[in-house]
Amino acid sequence: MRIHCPYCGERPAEEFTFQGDADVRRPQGNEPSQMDEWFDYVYLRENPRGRMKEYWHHSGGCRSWLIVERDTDSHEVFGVTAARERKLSPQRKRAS
Amino acid sequence: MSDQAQLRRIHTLGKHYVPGRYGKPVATPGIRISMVHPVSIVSIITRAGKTKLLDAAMLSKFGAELPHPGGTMQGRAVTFYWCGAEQYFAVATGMAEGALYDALRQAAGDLASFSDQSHARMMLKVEGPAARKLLAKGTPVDLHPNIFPEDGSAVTQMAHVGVHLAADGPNGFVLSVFRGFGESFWEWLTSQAAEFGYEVR
Amino acid sequence: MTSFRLPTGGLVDRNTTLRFQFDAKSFTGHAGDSLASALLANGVSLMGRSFKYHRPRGAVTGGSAEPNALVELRTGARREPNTRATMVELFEGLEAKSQNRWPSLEFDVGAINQLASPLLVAGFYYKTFMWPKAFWEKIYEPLIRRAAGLGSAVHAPDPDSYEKIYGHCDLLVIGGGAAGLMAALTAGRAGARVMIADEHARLGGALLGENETINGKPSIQWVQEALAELASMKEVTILPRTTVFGWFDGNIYGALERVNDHVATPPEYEPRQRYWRIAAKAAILATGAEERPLVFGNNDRPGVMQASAMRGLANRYGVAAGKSVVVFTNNHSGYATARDLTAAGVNVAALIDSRANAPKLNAGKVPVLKGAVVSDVEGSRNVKSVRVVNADGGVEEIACDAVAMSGGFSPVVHLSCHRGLKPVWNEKLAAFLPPDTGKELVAAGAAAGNMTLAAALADGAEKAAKLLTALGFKPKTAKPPQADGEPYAVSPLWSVQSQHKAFVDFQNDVTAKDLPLAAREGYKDVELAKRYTTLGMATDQGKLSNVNGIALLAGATGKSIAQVGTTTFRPNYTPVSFGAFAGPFTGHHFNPVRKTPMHAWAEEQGAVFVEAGLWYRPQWFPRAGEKGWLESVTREVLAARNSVGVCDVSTLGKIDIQGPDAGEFLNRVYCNGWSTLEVGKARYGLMLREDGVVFDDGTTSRLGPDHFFMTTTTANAARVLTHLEFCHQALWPELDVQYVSVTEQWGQMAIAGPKARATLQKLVDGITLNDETFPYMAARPVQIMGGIPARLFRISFSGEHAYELSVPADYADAVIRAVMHAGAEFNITPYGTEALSVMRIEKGHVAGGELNGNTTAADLGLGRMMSTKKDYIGRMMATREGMTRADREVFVGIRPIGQGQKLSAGAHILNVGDKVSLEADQGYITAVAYSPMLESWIGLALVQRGNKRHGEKVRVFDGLRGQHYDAELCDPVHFDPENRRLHV
Repeated sequence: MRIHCPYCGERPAEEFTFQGDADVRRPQGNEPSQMDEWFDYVYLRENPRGRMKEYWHHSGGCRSWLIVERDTDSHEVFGVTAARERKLSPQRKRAS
Repeated sequence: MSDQAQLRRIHTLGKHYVPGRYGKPVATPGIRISMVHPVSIVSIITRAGKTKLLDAAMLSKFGAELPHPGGTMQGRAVTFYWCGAEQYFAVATGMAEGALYDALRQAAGDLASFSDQSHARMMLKVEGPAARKLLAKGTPVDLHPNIFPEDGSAVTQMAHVGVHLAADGPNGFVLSVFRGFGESFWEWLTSQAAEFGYEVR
Repeated sequence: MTSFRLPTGGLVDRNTTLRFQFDAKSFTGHAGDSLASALLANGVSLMGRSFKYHRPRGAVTGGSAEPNALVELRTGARREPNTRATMVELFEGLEAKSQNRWPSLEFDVGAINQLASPLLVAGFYYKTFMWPKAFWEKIYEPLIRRAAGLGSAVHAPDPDSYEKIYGHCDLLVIGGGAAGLMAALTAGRAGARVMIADEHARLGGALLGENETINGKPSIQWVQEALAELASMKEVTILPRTTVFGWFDGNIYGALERVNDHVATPPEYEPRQRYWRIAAKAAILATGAEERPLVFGNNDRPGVMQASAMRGLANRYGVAAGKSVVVFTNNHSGYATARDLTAAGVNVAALIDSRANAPKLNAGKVPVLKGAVVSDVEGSRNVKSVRVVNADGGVEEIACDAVAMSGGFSPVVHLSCHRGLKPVWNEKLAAFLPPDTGKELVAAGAAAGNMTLAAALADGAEKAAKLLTALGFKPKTAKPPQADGEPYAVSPLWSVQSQHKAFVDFQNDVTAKDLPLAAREGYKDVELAKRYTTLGMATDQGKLSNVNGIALLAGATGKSIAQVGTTTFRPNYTPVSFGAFAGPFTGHHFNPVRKTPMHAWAEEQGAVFVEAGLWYRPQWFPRAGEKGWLESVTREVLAARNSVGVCDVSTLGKIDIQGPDAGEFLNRVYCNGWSTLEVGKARYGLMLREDGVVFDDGTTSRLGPDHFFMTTTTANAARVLTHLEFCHQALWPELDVQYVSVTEQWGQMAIAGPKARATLQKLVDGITLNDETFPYMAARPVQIMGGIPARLFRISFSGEHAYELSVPADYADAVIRAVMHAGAEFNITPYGTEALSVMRIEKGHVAGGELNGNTTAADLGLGRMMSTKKDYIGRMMATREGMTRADREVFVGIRPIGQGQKLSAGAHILNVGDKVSLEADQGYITAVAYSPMLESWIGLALVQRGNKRHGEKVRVFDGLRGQHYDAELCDPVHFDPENRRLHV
């Protein structure tokens, strides 16, 4: 598999480390009433056959955490974004 | 700095680095390797929202903006290499201990975080007609000159070791690894260079 | 022995004679021969024994699909089993041995299996060896392993080197035959980066064995011109002896280049094999088509060959397969063989064409019997004659010593199916064609079902041009080279009624009867039938046999071939050696080694090193006369406790953290608070995982308002950095914080003991060290030795008055020597990780044994560190019921009862009087040491409610070492509980 790192360009899978479902969001707040929400965040993961957003760490490259949208069956990659850009305004992009 | 003899910097290879000709006996070695040492290396990470201000400060003080992802910029007496999202290495030779770090902090102390890495990395220059073929044994980065130009800079892995790799002239590259891996990386690099014949300078 | 070398012809170099040995007999051949062609030239057609029945076998192909002629090549450490004699290039001094025979190839005791063959039908393993159970391991399995099987592996280390390399190209052309060469030429001429790989020593594919004409010239001349043109192109890489064995996600291809398999030993500095990972923008599958055998009685006798292999033998190697040949075909291939053999002076007794209405093709003067079949071969070790059943049902026997057979052609589709797609049955071609794989990999030529030379040439050019256009190139469309083309017009013939065994799969001894048997017994699915009959297994993976086998299964189950479908195609196309997969990363180089900047010094001191992750750390420093590690370690501890010791702690993870939000970031990743830490001070930090379990610990210092210096454990250094990156980038990218590993920038040493300060004072410039200028937990930049910029931390893992001194790594060697010099008057003593561990156990500091991935902060007695004023990683989950249960195993000290009793790490703890059981288990010992200060063994443990049981007597059960003894739970701080020594 090859992943197009938004910073480094296309690199083979062996430069990356997989970290699972990227659609989970860390809850805000520490109220005891939120325990179920926290439990879901820490333990529950989707595991679909097909399209999924996943965290991949470019551990053997620029060390960016990426969100890779991928087909778990065919391994086709549909798109890659940097996790840090999910909330922030876009940073400097790779000159294509 | 005092003139005490023991204060001389010792690079990580120590006695393992012996200039000479090695490997296949050929008329012209396919590979030439030289140690870039002593070297000043400072890592630069841009602070939030300061990209443009930082570029301006670098341009005014060092004569070059910071490079785009995958690029290198040559400034006055310092080279900036891209090495990650909003991360760079500033590299210079011939500077006193801490001098590059101080100069960068002075120029842009509140625009970026700087960390002196001068002692953290073993930096080598690898050049020669077989340089691309040698490095292809390690990195998945395509080093074809059309793809990885003379101002190319990448972070990658070779022989299970993280490497910063940049072009240096038409058939030359500079690469650096964490110094602790230095000896191990050196053994791999030279064993893979043997088929081309190599010269340690 | 008769020579079968033809007087002229072939691509071998008749001026170069090579000597070789097969089964210890000496022969000669020529440069350019394969081992198989050289053997056949010498009249040796018997090359091996079959897997199950031990039948005599010879080469049936001329290439990598060879199921029979498997030999052990070379001797000693370089001996390699299961090499195909058809692919082995002859070299001077080659030594090969036949396999699967005992005592000799000519007389093989195992051949008696043929008599027992009714027992050895499909599923025989399952049927015969089911009962009694105990017999399996002791009797049946060893028996089968000896009787069946291929070559044996070598146990000696491989003396050769292997290499890995990455390749990149616009177009990868897989196969260097007519279509492949046209594709490469088209791409090369358009200026694309091209790699063209072929498994043979020279490119040309089937053309090397054919006697065809291209553009009015002999086809071999066209091949040479094409190769010369490709070689002249800068962006074209030609890879002979290279098998593309797998197609992987992302259009990556695995390829094995046999750099030096064709010589006795690789030249110095060169690898034996090179493992390529090729990233291609697009690829052309020009792997050609494999000729199928026909299934008739004794079709496995040495001398029965593929028709294409037999004419290749004549055309490429100048070798006749026999003196008189019968050709049996259901398509045009047999005619070419009849013509070429006749032209080479070999008698062709008859051409048997199973097609009653075969098109009129040129067979020269060879008599053609249409609508006839060969039902059986007669002869036990070789061919004596064939029995022919004519169109009218009449039977005649034709004497011959070789049979050429062609059952049609199967496109070599394997790679196109490696990523999960299935090939598509084509009724007209009676073959499976590659599936539509989109733009990444496109089949061309015979691999795409274009079975004539003219069509293959045109197809290679056309498919390449199309792919290149999609990639943005502008390929020129030239008229494809002209070649003749006879109609293929195959008419399927899946098996012939025979008197003798008719083989479908030669390598696995699967006969035409086995597949219907499997179907009758319920194994109707193709994947099940494969496992039941062993069809298509082992080294050739059914390259010759699968289509015939599937057709027979279809017949037996009443399904169409398309309905039956194929088994799954998986990499590798042909076997790849483990050496190639491992590459240069074997032995000492299996993993990279990390050494600290004080390594050379420690070596000089005689350190015994221990691997900690990739790092090598001094474990202890033995001295002359010491009787063992314990004596050395005890001396080191006493030196540090009584005077001063020094320890290399460079391997601790060090992370420089800066930015306006650096403090806030630390608040969120550590469970304790950081807002109140003053500049110039260090603090112990505890990091949890999000599930509430302790992750890592270390001291972090504040070097400036926005500048922190974090240390981690050696083991977790990389994990902590990755964790920080995740927390920042994925959870809180709004934080303005920057961090980078500076582990390698600093050589760090712990200087511990009552004389630590006096030692350091001699090195530190400009300050007098005392409790005012440098109090406990002070952390500041200093200068040492007249100008070296250093950092000094008054922190202590040992419990002594201690410092950690950090210096830029290139100076570390000089500094450690200066420290030793400065401490000489106090008899300063280097200590290793063992002494470090003894001292931390004496002090009850937690480390790896306690940070075991199960313990919470509260379990470790550090619950008070967990802030309630902020959110941090792990806060919420640490409060869950199970994490706070009263009976959790918690941190406690343990000491033996009784003078001289040792403790053992890992031993379990029971209440006194309880029987040994899982239910009675109270916990276990996590770390033990001999304490030189207490002159006793001491330990740390995790025990249920242990913190409330100090002073309680327990029973220790060490099942592993067979020991039981009494012990007492106690405060984990065994030594100096008031921490007085920190301040001496």
